[in-house]
Amino acid sequence: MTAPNVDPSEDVLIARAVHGDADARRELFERFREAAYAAALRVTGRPEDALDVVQDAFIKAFESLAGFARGASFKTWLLRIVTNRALDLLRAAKVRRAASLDQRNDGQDRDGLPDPPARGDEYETPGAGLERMELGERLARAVASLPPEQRAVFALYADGELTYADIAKIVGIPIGTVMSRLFHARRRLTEMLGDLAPTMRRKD
Amino acid sequence: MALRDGPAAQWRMTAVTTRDCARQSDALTALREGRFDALTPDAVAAAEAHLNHCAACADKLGAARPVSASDPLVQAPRQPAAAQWRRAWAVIADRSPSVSSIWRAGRAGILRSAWTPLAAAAACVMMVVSWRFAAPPVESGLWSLAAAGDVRVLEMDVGEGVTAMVGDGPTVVWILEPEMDAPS
Ligand SMILES: [Zn+2]
Repeated sequence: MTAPNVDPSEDVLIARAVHGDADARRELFERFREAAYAAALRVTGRPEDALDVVQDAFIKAFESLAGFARGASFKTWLLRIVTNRALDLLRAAKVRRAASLDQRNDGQDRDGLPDPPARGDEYETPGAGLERMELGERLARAVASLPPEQRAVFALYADGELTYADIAKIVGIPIGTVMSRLFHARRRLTEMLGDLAPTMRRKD
Repeated sequence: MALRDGPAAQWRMTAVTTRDCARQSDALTALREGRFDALTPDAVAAAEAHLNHCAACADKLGAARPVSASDPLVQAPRQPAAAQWRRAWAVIADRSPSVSSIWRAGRAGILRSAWTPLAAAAACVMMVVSWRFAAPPVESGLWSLAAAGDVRVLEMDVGEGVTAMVGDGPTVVWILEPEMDAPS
């Protein structure tokens, strides 16, 4: 595994942030919020959930910053918290949805909660409605329809700055499994977005 | 991997491993270069199995960064507006502890956890000193401590889960009167 590319000033910021320096914390937030949000959005599939995940992840990070190993990459550590939080949120939503379905099947009253948000499972097969969406929106929905473990790997792959070893570390799986999940995630996305093939040439 | 049969086995295993690496080379290069579409599921499964057993190939691939910037399946998501970030930061600043908790709780924890061994160490020092120098009994309102010249242990009651052992060297035996607790 390669040594993380850690900006020396990052260690200084972290040391200040541990002691509650608000400016240092804000600087860390501003440096890494976009990467955190992008990963959270790719896993949760919903902007409002993604922003909640980012907030929770930064709060958790600042709470336990003293336990963060100096010289390690803050971004890798943060994205691990983000990914775990986002996956927890998906699991909780799945449990809520299952409970809600059970109640409906039992003919009982709903619990008063709003309908669980659509997580994209309904979009696994491309439909006529999907064709009206922009490429970015369709991609986001397609990513949101992947199995959660593939979504997490794809989200970290999409970040582009992490090494495959970082991704393996964050998700807690071997590199071979990272590659396999990534391969199947991409294959599934290509199948779902097949009609967009002409517009989806490599960007390089 | 453990080698059990000496140099010959080592040579055989190295040869097999090298051949495996060579066999997977194209697939691993395609993965490293992000040419996923050039691979079949079977090829990826074989590469995965190889990576799980070959640290050299896993390390080499692990050091690579994905070339996702040129992947058409990767689009930068629309980020929240400045006002949303401001609100998010306000929530984070409001709910984060002023000092990271491990730091804060750590010192209290260290003091708490240090108390028991410190007390035990003090008791041991007291016992050793009183034994070595045959000092007069150390007493408090509840207990007294004195060095014994010759002790035979005929019976020992210990609590559940505790092993009773009396060795040949200096041994401390608490002799408790009813209703009396050992110093701690
Ligand atoms: Zn190999």
